[in-house]
Amino acid sequence: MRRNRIILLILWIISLVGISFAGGPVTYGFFTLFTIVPVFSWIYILIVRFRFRIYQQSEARTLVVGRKVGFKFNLQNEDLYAFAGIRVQFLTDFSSVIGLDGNEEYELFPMTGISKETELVCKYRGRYEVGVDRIIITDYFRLFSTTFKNKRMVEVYVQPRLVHLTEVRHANLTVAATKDTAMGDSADILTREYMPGDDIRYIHWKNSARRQQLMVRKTIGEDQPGVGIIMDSCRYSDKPTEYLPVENKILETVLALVYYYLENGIPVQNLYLEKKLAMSRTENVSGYDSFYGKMNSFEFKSGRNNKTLFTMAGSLNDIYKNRMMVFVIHEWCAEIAKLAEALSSSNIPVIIYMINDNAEAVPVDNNINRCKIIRVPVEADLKEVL
Amino acid sequence: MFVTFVYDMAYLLPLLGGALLGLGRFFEIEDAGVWHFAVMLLAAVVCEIFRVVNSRGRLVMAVMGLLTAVSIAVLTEPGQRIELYNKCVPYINCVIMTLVCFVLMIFLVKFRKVRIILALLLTAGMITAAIMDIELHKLVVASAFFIIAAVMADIIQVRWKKSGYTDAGKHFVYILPFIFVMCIVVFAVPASEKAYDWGFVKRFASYLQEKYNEIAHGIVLSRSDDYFASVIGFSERGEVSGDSYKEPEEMIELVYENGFSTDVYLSGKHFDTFNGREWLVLNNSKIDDAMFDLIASRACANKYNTNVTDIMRTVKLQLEFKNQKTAYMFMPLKSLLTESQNKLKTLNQGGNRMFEKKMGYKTAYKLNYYKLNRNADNFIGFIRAEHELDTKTWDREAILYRNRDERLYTYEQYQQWKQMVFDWYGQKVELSSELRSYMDKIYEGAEDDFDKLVRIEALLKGFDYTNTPGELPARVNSPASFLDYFILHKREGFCSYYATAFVLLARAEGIPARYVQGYHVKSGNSNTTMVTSDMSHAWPEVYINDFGWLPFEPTPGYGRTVSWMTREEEQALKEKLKETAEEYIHDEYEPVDITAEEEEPEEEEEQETFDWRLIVFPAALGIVLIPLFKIIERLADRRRFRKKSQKDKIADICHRNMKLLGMSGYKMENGETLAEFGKRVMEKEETDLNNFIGEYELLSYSTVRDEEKSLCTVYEAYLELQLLFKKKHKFRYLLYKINNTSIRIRTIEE
Repeated sequence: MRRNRIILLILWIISLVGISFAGGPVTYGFFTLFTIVPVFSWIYILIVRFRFRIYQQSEARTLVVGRKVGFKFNLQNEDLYAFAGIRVQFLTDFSSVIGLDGNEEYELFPMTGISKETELVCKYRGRYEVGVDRIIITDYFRLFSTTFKNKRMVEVYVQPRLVHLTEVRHANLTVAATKDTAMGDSADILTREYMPGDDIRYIHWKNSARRQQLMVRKTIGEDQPGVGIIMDSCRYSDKPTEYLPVENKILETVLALVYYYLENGIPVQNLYLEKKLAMSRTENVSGYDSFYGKMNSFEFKSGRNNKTLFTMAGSLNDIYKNRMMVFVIHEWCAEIAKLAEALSSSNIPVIIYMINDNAEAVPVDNNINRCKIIRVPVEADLKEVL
Repeated sequence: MFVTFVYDMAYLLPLLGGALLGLGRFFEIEDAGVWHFAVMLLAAVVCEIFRVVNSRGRLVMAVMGLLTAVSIAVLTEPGQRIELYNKCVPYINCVIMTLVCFVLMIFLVKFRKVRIILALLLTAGMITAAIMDIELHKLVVASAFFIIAAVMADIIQVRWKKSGYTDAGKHFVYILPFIFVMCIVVFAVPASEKAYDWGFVKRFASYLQEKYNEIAHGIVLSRSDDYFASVIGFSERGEVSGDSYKEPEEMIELVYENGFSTDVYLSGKHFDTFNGREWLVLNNSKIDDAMFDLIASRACANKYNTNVTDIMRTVKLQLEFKNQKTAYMFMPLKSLLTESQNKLKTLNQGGNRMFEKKMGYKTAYKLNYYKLNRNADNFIGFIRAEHELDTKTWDREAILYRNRDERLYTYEQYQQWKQMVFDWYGQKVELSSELRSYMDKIYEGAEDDFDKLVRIEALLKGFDYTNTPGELPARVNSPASFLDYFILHKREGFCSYYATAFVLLARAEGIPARYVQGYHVKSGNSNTTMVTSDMSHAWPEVYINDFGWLPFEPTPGYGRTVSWMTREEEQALKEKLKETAEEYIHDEYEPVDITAEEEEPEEEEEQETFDWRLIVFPAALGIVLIPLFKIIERLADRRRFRKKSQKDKIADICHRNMKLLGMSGYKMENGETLAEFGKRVMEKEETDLNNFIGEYELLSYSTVRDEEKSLCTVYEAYLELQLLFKKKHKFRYLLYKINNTSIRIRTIEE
């Protein structure tokens, strides 16, 4: 295209020289021709721009991440002249159209159209637009092209997918499923650090003396073995290209882990932030659908932060009833370490899954006992990482 | 077919137009017109139909054409055949050219390389025509451009990688409107025979240049005037000594608004006091010296009892500063300011009219000044006469300039002005005894003061002019010592020397005089003159009692060339011319009126009659022959059908049935089976097609076992479908019957 423009410019300059030295229909004709060629090219592009029609349709408006769904689009020329060069570009940030190349150029003859049927795959959970993003129109002399945004977008709602994990490397199911016996502090007694408000009758003086700090017995009564998962609920960016992948992976990880534990007969307690700290408990697999529905409709918000989440979570006695805690986070903060330590000191192992592409985000000086930090890249396959 | 037709015609039409206009003259087609092109177009369409349309109608057209030609040849009388042929030669040649273009077009549309070669040849041809100044019709040029643009679009399309179906011919046909309109614009835009003069570019460049000069001068000339003494050639300090180097710079633009330019002395500054080495302005008077001088001169002239225009004439002048930055207003003597840009404010100081502040580039003002008939005897007589302006005479003139303010230019103020003139410009100069003796000899026999002034002027004009007289000796430190040095010894110098000497000598005789610096502008051939710095000059002005200031020119090489005939002299000259002319008029020959045109003999008008037989006979023949031809065609078709095998007959009838269904509005869609198609038709029509469809399926996909039965079945469907078609479209059915041979078969019952 640039070459054609350069050729036209050279010819135009030559025609300028021509009319400067000689008159007549030939020289002025050349000059007129090379002057109006770009004008007519632009007029043509503008006409095509406003007369061009595009129709696109997805088989379903509610999709699941990673699942293919039928997609078709139709480019139509309803006029009496040809559309010489039409190129269609698709949205690729969050979805991809299978089998179609955005560099393909089409010509539409009058009263004809091009229909393409293919499949659409969405990468992340959320509500966003898919399909044709931009249309590039080129004139018949290939001098100029213009790009305009497709105004008739297709909006879809994409649900998170369930990754079926057969094993989780860092999780010890035995620990998660059974009661804690000889964990070092005292036989059959589980204690934790004293918190203001605890009943002083539950202070375990022996452990307190040993640990040189007040320790109280954990709730006496029926033990509720299970896993607790604290989910990062913050939105870390304004740009969808940054926050959608992270949120998708967080949800995906949580859903996969919950399903894994439920499948193995381990109840799961989930904590996350909505307007305040929310907690949901799922006892078995039959309750998973309800949990999935909650996670599906969960909205990450930018006003929240992990500091609040983990502080509030740490103040709950219930989390100390779990046999194991899992944190699924994007960014580290001191409160996470503090809670992990507290849990660890209560003999509750903690696994922290950090959904982050930046290896430096993972704290290097983690010397919390019984706490593992695993970094999960945003685009990673959970089956490989977990 | 449409695409092919349009594509071919798109290449053919420009070829026809170009051939007709470009080569027509070689084929005896003088003054190619619309009819010639119409004939070519008709021939082209016929050729194209023959090429594209696959129909027996082509043969009919050919036969019709041939019959027409034969009829014309037969019906024309033998004596008129040659004349008819001569008349038809241009049109026959048009048809021949069309055929040639048609053949060329076939090669063009078939071979891309031929198109490219033609485009290159056309480009080269046009460039050659432009260089060699060969005249080409605009339509030829536009046609050539059309082909070039078409080839360009074609080449681009071929190299353009697109997905799916892309046909170069179809592409061209469907972008044709844009290319066609482009070529129409090329044709319609006027093309001058002359090369483009880039007037607007030049004007714009000139405007930018002016703006640049304005800015540059504003920056450069903001410094002291004295710094630019050598540049502008005019120094406000009135220095006399030294060498004068004047580099020409454009200073002021003069526009004479009522005719060609004339010699004019533009006064810049008047000096009153000479200290032996330089002139000074010590006079602080605020009197408007220019106005009083003007009124006095006009009043005297009006009183002189003669035609004022014999003494002074109005010249309208417009001045615009260029490389000038000064507070002094340059004006000729006897000027009246009429208009100044943005009403510039002026003041009077020391006998000079000045701007309130220094003005520079683009300062403009208009004035009227009274040019004196300086060299005329009449004027000299007027100057020598005694003038005494009384109050009445003064007021009669001054009232014209007072602008209803009675306080301006009163007689009393005039008297004050006169006193100022004598006080400052009449300062007595004492000559040395040697110079006094010398001058007395010069003045010997002088009748009056004016005579003395003339003699002083003549004396100084006899000296030599030089731009490099050298420095004044240190001993020259007074007017007298200067005069001694210059008159008695040096006797050479530039204008300042001569002006100074004149003024001092005049003052020595008690005649008020002043030294003036400005520009001496010589007359030119147009009404606009550029005053350059090398025109800077100094000259003396002498006060003539009651008349006012009168300039003199003592500098050698400079002269006053201003004079014109008085009215009496003009009248006398006219009389003399008339007398002279009358002597040469002859009365012997009668005047011949050469404007009358010769009358041409009237020609008898020939009446042309049209021979209708040329149309009626071929038409009648056509009416007879065409049906005959159709009858023969049908008989041949039926015979051909009869000769076919059973299977071929079945296939033929099946195809006819499908054609009938198509014409009735039912066409098979993509991917539709015969059964589905038949079902679709039967849903809408009452006709039972199951048997026919079944037989057709067997024919298409399997083998027909009972050909006789199959033939009957499909034939029955054929008859039913004809009825269906007739029911739906009666007129089209009629056309169908005319154009298609109906078949008959013997049924089993028969």
